[in-house]
Order: sequence, then structure tokens, then C-alpha cells
Amino acid sequence: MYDVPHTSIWPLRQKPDARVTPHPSQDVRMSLPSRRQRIAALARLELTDSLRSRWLQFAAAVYILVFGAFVWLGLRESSVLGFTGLSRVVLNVANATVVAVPLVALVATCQSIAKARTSGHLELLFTQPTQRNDWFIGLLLARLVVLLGPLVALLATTAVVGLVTTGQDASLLPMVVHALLVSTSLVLAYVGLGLLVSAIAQSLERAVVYALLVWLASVALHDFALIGVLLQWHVPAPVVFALAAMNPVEAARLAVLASVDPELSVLGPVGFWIANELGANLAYFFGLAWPATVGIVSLLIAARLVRKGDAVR
Amino acid sequence: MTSAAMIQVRDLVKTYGDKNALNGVSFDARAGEILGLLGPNGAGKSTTMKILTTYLSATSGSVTVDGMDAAANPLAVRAMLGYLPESTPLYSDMAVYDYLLWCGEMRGLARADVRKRMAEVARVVGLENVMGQVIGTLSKGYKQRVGLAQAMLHNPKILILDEPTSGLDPNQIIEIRNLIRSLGQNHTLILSSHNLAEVRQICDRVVIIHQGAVVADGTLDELEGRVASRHHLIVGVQTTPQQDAEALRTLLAQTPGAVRVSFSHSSQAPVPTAFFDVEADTDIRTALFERIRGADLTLLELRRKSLDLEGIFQSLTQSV
Repeated sequence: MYDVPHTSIWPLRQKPDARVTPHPSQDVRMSLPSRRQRIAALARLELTDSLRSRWLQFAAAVYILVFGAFVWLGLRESSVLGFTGLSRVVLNVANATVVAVPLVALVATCQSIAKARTSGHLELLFTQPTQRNDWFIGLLLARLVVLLGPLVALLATTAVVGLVTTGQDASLLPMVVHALLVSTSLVLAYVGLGLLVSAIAQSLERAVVYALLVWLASVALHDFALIGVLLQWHVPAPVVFALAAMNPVEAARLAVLASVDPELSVLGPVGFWIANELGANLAYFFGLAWPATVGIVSLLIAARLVRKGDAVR
Repeated sequence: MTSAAMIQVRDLVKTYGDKNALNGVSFDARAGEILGLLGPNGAGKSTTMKILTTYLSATSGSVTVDGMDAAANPLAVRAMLGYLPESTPLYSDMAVYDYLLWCGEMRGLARADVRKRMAEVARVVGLENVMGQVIGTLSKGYKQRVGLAQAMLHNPKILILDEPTSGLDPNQIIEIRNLIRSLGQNHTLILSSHNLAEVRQICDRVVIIHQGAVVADGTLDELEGRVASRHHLIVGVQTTPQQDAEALRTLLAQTPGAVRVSFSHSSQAPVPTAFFDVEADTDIRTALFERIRGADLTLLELRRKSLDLEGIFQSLTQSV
């Protein structure tokens, strides 16, 4: 008999019967698991790995830090854009999340595929009766859970607390929903970009460098830096604004602010230009849809790269 | 004993860019047989194994497993085999129990059977005492056992083991070899190895791969018989510091009847001597003696070499 410790993250299961023959039995009942079962098992494996790698704790710590700072600031009497108390906190958190998510998501994903490939895990994994697409979907689900889970929990708690304590704050719930939508879209964008980087990179070191370049591009393409550089070279303003708007971070920031008041100058030059060109609702929709589109396209390319060379079509 | 071919490999070609890793590899592995894949580093053994396990797709050629085309039915083929890669890549933060349970789930074992199989396999490979331990804390030998356990958990017809004893200490090597030998009673087993003694002890048949092609395929007796039909000689020639081994090798290779001549080693004391392995279709000892004397060199040693598996391997994988 052997002992299974309670520290295992899997539920403690019935200990196996040790009174067996030393040679394997020939009557093992086996049927190939369905695709859904395979993806669920692979997602659980990746999630387990993420939990042990402390990505979940890392993401949660970042969000809690941001949230804690704004709770401390937001519960004071000042107001931002007419919002006070928890609504103000959520608005600020959404803005801060837009800045934090790219780095957190890239760090959590940029090495995942490259690491699985170089460590040989994929070689062993794909001799199991499963497809590379299944693993990729499992990996994606696990990363989304790790990155969005703490944020969803935090914002949901805020909404509940807000409703219980300040039931009259009608702007809180819509604000929470907007923040969640924008965060989800942005997480999708950077998880997609991170996995694409990981699928392209031939080594772990290169993956980190590529991810850093993506992050730098996100920062550099932010309103003022890009506008400053391009206007210096006399690039037409609409081209400059359009380029800046291609940045998922910029688009997400636009969505956060447009959900509050699209006419405000706080949208910044790029946001103001887009809101002017597209109208308030379309600008908000663009801010939500563009990061998600970037993420989905990146994921499709990454999945294709992972699938390349597989005997399974 | 052995019967019909469980695995048929035909004209396997694998190219990476403009480099050919495999150049038309063909062989069979029969049901209930332990087949050894031998070859120097970079010969194509691991690539062949990765194609057999459907991890890689071949550029051309075919693999048939139990009558099924592996390229057309990869999931069914994967379900039929267990694989132990060379580096034994396991999830080091997982407990052995959790990992094997997960493997059972992925293999589609019935819930009621998983734990029973885990217990059986743990007993067979000697993991019972470490089932609750985190994989990363295990010794290399135990990790290898975990790798073997996951490969045989679903009781596959075929086991493919890439360098199963590499990195193990002598005691662990003996244990794993005995285990593989006993597994061969119930499975078709393909293993790759550099270790010729290991292959001799374990394998029923050997396929030698060199530069991406099969250079020999047969039982050890067959291979020994084939190579023994040639004459293998060891030649020791006294050298001076000015003479280089390549010039001497060329001189010997020009002896009529010489098929293959390779520099073996040189000895410094008491008389500097260069040793060569000479392979010939006929007995060329007299001709060699005359050639060396004609070149005004001193012959210090000339004897026939008895061939073991190392000799066969060397003979088949060294160029002229």
C-alpha cells in the first residue's frame, strides 16, 4: 500500500487495492475520451501547473494591490468625472488594469508553449490520444482562468459590497460590467499575443525578449509617445491616430472612458479623434472589439503554429 | 515467440529544411519481440521513434501499426502505444499518484480500472513507496520508473523506449533492464540505445541506423554471421613523430582486397605504434605485410580480430 498525502491539490481518492498480480491485467476497459473530456483534462493539468507556478497568486496580488490603492484613495470625498466612492474606485481600477494587464498577461503566457516544447512535455503529451489543438485550447482556458479569475472575483465582490452598503449608487453595477468587459477583451488580446510569442520563439530567452518588445510597443504606441514621434516626421494626423488606435491598450482605455462620457477631453487626442469619427457608441464598441480581435487573430496564428507538424489533421 | 509484424516501417524520409534526417528507413517489429534501434548520435533513431509515436509526421514513407496506417489513424495508434522519451519530461511539481491518475484519464481508462492499474503498474516498476511523493523530489531512477509507469499504464500492445537507461547508476540500470526484459514477455517493445551490452542483454533483434538509413537488420547471431564472413584484422605499425595516422591509413587502404580501414588508436610506449582496424573480403595478411615492408615500415602486430557486437556496430557505422 502507498500513502497519498493530503497536500495533493487533487481531491483525496480511495487508495488503490494493492492485492493485485505483479503483471498487468489484460482486461483493462478503455475507450478514447471525448474531445471535451480531453480538453477538460488538459486544461486541469495546465491550471494545476499554473497554480503551482504561482501565476494565479501573482495576478491576484497585482489586482489586489491596484484595487487596495484605489479603495484607499477612492473612498475619500473627492470625485473623479463626477464619480465618488466605489464607482470611482472601479473606474480607477479599470484604468489601472488596462495598464497592468498587458505585462501580467505577457509574463504568464510568453514562455508557456516554448517551455513545453523545449522541456519535452509536448513530445510525451502528444503520444497520448489527443490533438495539439486540444492542448492549445486547454492551455488557453487555464491562462484565462488564472488571469481573469481574480479580477472577476474582485469586481464581483465590489459590486456586492457596493450594493449592500451603498444601494443608491446606480452607476456602480454598469461600471463593474464595463470594467469586466474591457478587462476580458484586453486579457484576450495579450494572452493571444503572449501565446503567439511563445509559439514563435525557439527558446525561452527569445520568448522573454519578444514579449518585452510587444510590451514596449504597447507602451510606445500609447498616445503621446507615438504622436510626438510621428508628428516630428510630419506624418498626417489621421494616420498617427489610426496607428495609435491599433494599440489594444489604447483601444481598451478608450472603451473604459467612453463608457463614462465620450465627450470628455480625458479621452486623449486619439480617443477624442475616434469618438469624433465613429460616434460615442461605435467608439465604445471599437474599444471593446479591437483588443478581442487582436487576441483572437493571434490565437489562431499561434494554434496554427502549434498544430504544424502534427500527424493529426 | 515472435509472429506477424506489429509495426511496419517503409521508406521513411524526414527532412528538416535541406537536411535529411531519415533517408528511406524500412524495418519491421514483430509482435512480442524486443527490437533494439542502434546507431551513433544523430543517426536518426529518435526521429524514427518520434514518427512511430506520431509525434512527428514523416516527409514521405509509411508506418503501419497493427495493420493501421499511423498517418491516417494517429489517435488510434497513440492509444495503442506507450512511450518513454529520452529525457523523461514529467511534471515535476505533481505527485506521482496525481500524474498517473491524470495519464489514466487521458488514456480513457474506465474509472474503476484506473486505480487498479495504477497499483499494478506501481508494483511492477517499483513505485509503491513513492506514489505520494512529488515527482521533482525523486531520483533519476525513480523518475525513469514514473516514465515507464505512464507508458504502460493503459497496458499498450507496443512500448517504445528511447534510451531508457541513460543517466542511471549501475544498480538502477540493472533494475530497469530486468524490468524491460520482463515487459517484453507481454509487449512488442522497441528501444533505442547506445549501449551495446544492454542491447545484447535485452533485445531479440537489432536494427542499426546510420546517417538516416538502415545499415543492418537482424538477430544478433545473424549480424555476427554476416560480418564474420569478412576478415577483420588489427594492424600495429611502428610510427615516427613525423608520420601521421591518415597517411598510414591510406597506405593500408590501398592493399588489394581491403574493404575498410580505420585508425583505431596509437600507443606511445614502449615503441610508438599506430593501430588500425582492417576489414577485407579475403585473408590479406600476406599482402599487408608486404605492403608495410615495401614502405620501409616496421610491422609490430598483425592479428585476426574476433567480432563482438561492438565490432559489428563499428564495422557497419564507420566509413572507409
